[in-house]
Amino acid sequence: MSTVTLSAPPTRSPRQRGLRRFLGNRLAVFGIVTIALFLIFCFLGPLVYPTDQVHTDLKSTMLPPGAAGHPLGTDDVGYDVLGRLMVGGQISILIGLAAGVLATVIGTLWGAIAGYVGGAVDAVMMRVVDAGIAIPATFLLLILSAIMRPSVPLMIIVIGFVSWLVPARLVRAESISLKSREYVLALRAMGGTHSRAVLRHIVPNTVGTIVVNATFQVADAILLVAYISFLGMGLQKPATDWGAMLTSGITYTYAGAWWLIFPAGVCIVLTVCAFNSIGDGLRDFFDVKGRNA
Amino acid sequence: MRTQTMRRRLLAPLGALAVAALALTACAPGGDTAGGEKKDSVSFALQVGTGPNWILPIAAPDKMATHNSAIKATMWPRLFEYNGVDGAMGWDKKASAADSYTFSDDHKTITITLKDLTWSDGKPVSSRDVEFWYNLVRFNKEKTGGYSEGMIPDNITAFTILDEKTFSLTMDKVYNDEFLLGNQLSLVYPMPQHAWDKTGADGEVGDHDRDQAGAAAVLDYLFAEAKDMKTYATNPLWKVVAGPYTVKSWSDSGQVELTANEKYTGEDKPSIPNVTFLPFTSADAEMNVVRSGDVDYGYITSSQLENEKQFTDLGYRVEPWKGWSITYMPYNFANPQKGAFYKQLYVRQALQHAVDQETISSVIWHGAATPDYGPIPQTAESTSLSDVQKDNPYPFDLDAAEKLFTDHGWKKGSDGTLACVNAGAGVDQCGEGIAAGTKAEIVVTTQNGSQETDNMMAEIQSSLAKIGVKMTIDAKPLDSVLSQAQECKSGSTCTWELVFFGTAGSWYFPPYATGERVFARDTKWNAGQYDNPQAEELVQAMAFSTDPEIGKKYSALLATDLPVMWMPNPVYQVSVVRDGLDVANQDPGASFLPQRWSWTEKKK
Amino acid sequence: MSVVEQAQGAKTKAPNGSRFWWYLLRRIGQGLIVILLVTLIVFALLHLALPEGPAVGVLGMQATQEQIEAFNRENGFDLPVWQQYLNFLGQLVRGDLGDSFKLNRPVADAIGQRLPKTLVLALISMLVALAIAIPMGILQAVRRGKLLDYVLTTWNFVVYSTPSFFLGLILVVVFAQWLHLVPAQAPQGDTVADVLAKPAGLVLPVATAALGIIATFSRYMRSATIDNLSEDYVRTARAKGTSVPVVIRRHVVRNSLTPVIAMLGYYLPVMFGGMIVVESLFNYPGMGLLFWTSAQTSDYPVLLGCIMVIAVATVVGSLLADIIQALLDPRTRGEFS
Repeated sequence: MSTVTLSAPPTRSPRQRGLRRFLGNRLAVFGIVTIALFLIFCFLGPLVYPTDQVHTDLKSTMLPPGAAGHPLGTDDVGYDVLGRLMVGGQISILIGLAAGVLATVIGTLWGAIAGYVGGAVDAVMMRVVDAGIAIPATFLLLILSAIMRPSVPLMIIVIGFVSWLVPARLVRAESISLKSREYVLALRAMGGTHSRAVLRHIVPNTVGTIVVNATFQVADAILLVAYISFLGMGLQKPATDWGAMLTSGITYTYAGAWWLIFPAGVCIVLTVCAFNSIGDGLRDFFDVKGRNA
Repeated sequence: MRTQTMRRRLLAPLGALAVAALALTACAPGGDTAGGEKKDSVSFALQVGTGPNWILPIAAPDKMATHNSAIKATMWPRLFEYNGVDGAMGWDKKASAADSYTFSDDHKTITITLKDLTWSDGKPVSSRDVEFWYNLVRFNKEKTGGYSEGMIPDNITAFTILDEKTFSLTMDKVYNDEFLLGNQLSLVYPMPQHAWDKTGADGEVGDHDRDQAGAAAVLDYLFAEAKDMKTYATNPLWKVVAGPYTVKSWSDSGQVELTANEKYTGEDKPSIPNVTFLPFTSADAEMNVVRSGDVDYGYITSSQLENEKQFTDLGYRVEPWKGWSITYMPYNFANPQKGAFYKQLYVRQALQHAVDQETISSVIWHGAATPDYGPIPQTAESTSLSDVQKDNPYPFDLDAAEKLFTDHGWKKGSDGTLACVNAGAGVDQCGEGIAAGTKAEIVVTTQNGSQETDNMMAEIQSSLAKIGVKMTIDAKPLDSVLSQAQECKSGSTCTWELVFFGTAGSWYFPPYATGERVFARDTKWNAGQYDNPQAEELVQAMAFSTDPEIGKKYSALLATDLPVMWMPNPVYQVSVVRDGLDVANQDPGASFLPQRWSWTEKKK
Repeated sequence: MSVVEQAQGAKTKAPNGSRFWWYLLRRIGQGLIVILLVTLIVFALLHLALPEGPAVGVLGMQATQEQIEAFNRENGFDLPVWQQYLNFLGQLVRGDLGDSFKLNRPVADAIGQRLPKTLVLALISMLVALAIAIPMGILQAVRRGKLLDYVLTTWNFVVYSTPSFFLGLILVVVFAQWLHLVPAQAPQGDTVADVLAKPAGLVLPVATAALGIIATFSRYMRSATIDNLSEDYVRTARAKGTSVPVVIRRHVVRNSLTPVIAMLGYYLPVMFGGMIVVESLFNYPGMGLLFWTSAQTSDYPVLLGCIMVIAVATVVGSLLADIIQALLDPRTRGEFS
């Protein structure tokens, strides 16, 4: 008779288990690496490879890649494309992060308050959200393009205002389920204020949902930056972002100027993909919505 | 043997048909195209927007699009047709109803003799027909599109019929010849009084137009008939024409087919009997139709010029259609902070020297723009274009630009921007109203939505930066730009400095390019309130002076005095014309005369 | 991703019995408030941004002051904004969407001509997408963790992360320009019949729209299926001896479809939003392109009209989605077999 010793599996904290899941998600890891590389490319790149993105050079326009001093060619006013990708990336990523955070902050507060307070306030706040959802984002952006041409801060606000609806809904749902939890009831019984309840308990306990959603918001924001240019609201030259580069490049499709289109497009796809992957991985990390998504 | 030859003979065309069918299904676009496989027809792509929607020679104010006016002129020739189809902007006698004119000694009365044209129902085109137009318009001024107080027909004090083909007009004052004929009488259309002078479909034709009430009733009736586009091809009213064409069909989506007027008695006979006008909802839609070869005379966007070959390979040639327009950026002389800066001539001269119009036109606009150095359009020969303007008083020269600033007390600071170090009103000082330390910074409010305009602004900003002037670009939608340009006049705020709304040309002129709507002191579109008494005198004189050189004097003064910054002038459209189709010179007035088009060889 | 979250956050199950009618009434009331808010938002945007109205933009710079004043009088722009808004609401209630400034016809007419074509394109794209996405999602769930799952997930990520106009452009360049398999432009025409007469031209627009939908829905289907595969009733059925494919067919698919169908109602605005890009890219004569050209020509009545149509459609759609979900969801109805 042999004795089989059963040893209990090593116990891991939820955090450690989450981390393991995150790292096991190969796409998420790819996402982090990609973002890191892009940040280096966009923000440190110009130090290593400085180009003049302010002065035009009408004698060297539309040069294909490989022309002297221009590894990715030049555009229709002579800006170097590779340098422009770096500068454009700074703006795209900046706007994406800022707008994503803004949307999450507004949405979270809105949803938390609506869910917590409930009743008529909740109804009114949610009708506003419904109205926002009923207007498609592209339609709204197109109307805005007939009214204004935004600067970077304005773009952040516009994208933030188009995107806060989803976090609002999510956080409200969580807020509703949380507000009847015991510790919140206990807090109120002890005389704590509503705002304390919201800020100290509801919001922190929805952190998982919020952070995951924030990451997806950033991804969507970077995509929206691209759409904004396509819809006619792009930044004024010489400022640029990847979306503006892509849109300007598209007018030259039939001229065969692929270097004005694909580099910017690929950058957008990779970055957005990366943020989406990270978001997915974070969902595993926080164990949001079960282990299944 | 015989059967085999027959079979082979049949197979060849069948094979070709199959290949063609395959090619068509692969590349065929939607339904509205009339390719015109026959030599006796031609298809023309209309510009994007509302299609032709008005046939009556007298137009309602919102129905004045150029295509409306061009199409109706093929059926009801204008009294004096002014266009640039011969290369010079002037009187096109062949397409006019008038044959000759003389002035009285006091130059206030003009006696006009009509040609021997006949209406399609046999009646001659007569002076009564001109009087008919005159009466309808003068009794219905507010309803008439293009009416401007004091101008035609207000300025006609007497209309005298001398005989069937001759009549005279007495004007209220002496007018410059070119102005009177090119800008005023060119708006007159002889209309078939014997067929249209009635107040209802079943009404009697009479002299209703000769009094106020009758004229109003007649015009109401004609307007009501003209509102029904579906009947344009069938209504007997519209069948009474004197021009080279008549309507074959007219759909309310804007597709119009004209066919040669068999009863035409004039000398402007059409070479191509059938013309089809195709409407499009977007430039991309139209270009796709061009790419599939389904339109004979179309257009492309200027960015496509980067690769002309795609169209020349398809059997088209590219012909930019230059418009009778100028393009500029007004300076805001009324701006409380910056007005004094722009009032200095040397400042405006320096800024003008920094605009490289030639390179911008050829590189940024891909050749779809031409330099413009002054107030007279340079896209066709004209008697008003001075040599001073034509030779460009301010060529692109960054050194000269910088020198103008440094000679007047400006010096580049550590940040590279010029600052005024020698303030004062002296000869080598910055100028009155400019404080010491003022920086050379300008703000340009421009319209967005055009890649070429964006690029052009970036280029000007770049050149100005090189000489030390910091330019900020504030891009907004066109509507906002236009309303901001007017804000100083309504008194609320007044913040703009330069404003640009010229992506499609800043201002299109009538044949005689007077500036009273743009450069006269109190006119609406003198947005920057430019006020130079000498210029004002010339602007007004252009309409009233009999000096044949008056236009040139006006041209020279404004080209050098720079009421605005002159900018490259974008073309009206970049036409693509099928090889073998001769479209004569494209009229800068944006009109088209299909009777002058012809197929010079068999279509491929 | 975001739309997934959106629908999940929004689920409110419809109750049964007599409470159902109260629920319906309440939802309709809410819907009306939403529509009202939409009018407020869009009206405010258009009119406050350009206080003098679009007269100069519509009539052109060469318009005389008299013409501008006549235009403003005719269209009510000389009234105070709140009065214009009330007039607009009054018109809406009567079903009158006003007249277009540039198109020479009533807005309802213009939309009525274009909307069916957009619906056809959307419907075809949706059907094609779902026909691919649902099986794909189930397949991914069943083969979870395997290579196929990774490949499809990655593919969906990439498609989801690509701006649709870029995606469309790639399709045009590859399939129309290089390979000449299909035309680059959508079929033109006024009626749905015209558009359907040339199906070759529909391939690329449908493909562009469908790819994005597939990326979203297959992911959602996958996670819904995974959730359901681990449910008790599945284990019970398998314990009873029913084979896995049968289990999937009988129970899992039905239960997974429920949330997907629920999401369709909320997906309407996203669908319409996507139509703007697809229609302008391929020049498809639908409502999206109408909106696009109207925005460029300052044709306010058309812009307002289109938004109202979509808002109403969304409100109705989400209501229907909730009702259908209630009808389909066996857990709500309290039975399973």
